[in-house]
Amino acid sequence: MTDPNLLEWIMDDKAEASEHPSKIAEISPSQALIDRTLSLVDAEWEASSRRNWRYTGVGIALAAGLMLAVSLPSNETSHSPIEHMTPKGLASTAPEIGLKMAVSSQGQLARVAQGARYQDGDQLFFRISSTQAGWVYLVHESEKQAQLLTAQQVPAGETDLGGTTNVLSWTIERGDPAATFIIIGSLEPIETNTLLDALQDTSDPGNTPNGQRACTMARSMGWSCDTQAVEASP
Amino acid sequence: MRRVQQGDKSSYQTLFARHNRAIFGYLRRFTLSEHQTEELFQETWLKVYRARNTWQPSKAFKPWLFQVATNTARDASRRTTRRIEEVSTDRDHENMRSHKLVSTMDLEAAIEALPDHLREAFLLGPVHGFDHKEIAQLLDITPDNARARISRARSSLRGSLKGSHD
Repeated sequence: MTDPNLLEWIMDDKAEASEHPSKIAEISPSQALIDRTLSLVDAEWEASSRRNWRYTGVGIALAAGLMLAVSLPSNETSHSPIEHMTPKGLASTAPEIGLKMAVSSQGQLARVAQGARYQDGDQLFFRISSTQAGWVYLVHESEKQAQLLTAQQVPAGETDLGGTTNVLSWTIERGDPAATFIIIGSLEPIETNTLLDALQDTSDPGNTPNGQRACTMARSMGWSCDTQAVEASP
Repeated sequence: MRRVQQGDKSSYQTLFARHNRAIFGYLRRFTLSEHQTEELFQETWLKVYRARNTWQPSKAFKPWLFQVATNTARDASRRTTRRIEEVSTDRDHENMRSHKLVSTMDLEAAIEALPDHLREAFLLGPVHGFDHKEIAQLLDITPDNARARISRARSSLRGSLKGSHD
């Protein structure tokens, strides 16, 4: 214990709550987390109120290495021709989007390559390309479930997922045979419950996820989608 | 909160600005890592928005908010954890944060080592200032039970802190 006041407070049965040291009660979340949380709530708010979507640019600090890593060519994922079709009669409400991923492994940054296997502790980073400004939703799909990881407004062009001073990463942990990431795009915010319900319908317990069912679902809803799978070494 | 129910987004942001540090500090004691805390924090504030119409104007907002956070933390313990996190591009900032954590590490560790039911009562009472009656309502226990849990939590913390510095 380095603060004698804290110790005294802990030991005193009659200490008043108002005397508590604020550094135990309150911890400031990062600005990136604040931005991301308010952005998620904002997305729901806008979607539920059906007001016109407002564009506000999101500035992202990029690590130079990450920028270089995702700029490098990679083996392209093969897609079924049906994946990029929009159902007839359904107006497109989505920009065309793409997902690029970089991996930090043992201090080295590289573009994620199809078929490569990654190790426990490796960190993945996400860059989104979009033909128009809109909203993107990052989903992680495992054998058990699909989880919405984050939502973010993006401008047209390329954007790294994260807040104003941070980039998001996903850490591979022991026991992960594969991780599939899906990015869903829309010109207007999607109500989170709608998205989660739709993803729930695409889950296929017992089968290795590959993102294709989720992307087919997304396109049937008029959203755009891209997916990338990463395999971990056993 | 009444204004939030009426659709006033700026009032939500005001509530968020007023309470986000307390909620982050509260949730931090329930989890093993900062990125787990961030998941719970995000989920708590989404639930506040989604459940806004369940809040009753006759009741105070803060206990309701902590009720949402407590339920979110309890639910999380039954779920698979996620590992999305932020990576600062500013190494100096990271170093500063690490240094700050070391200075309160013993107390934080001792609080985090408490059994769940004692930790909840201790955090809500001595740390966040709720009285026994409010804690009882939040945790669905009697006020006497709340008082007893806090007393046991203090006793356990004394033992832990004494042990770590003998």
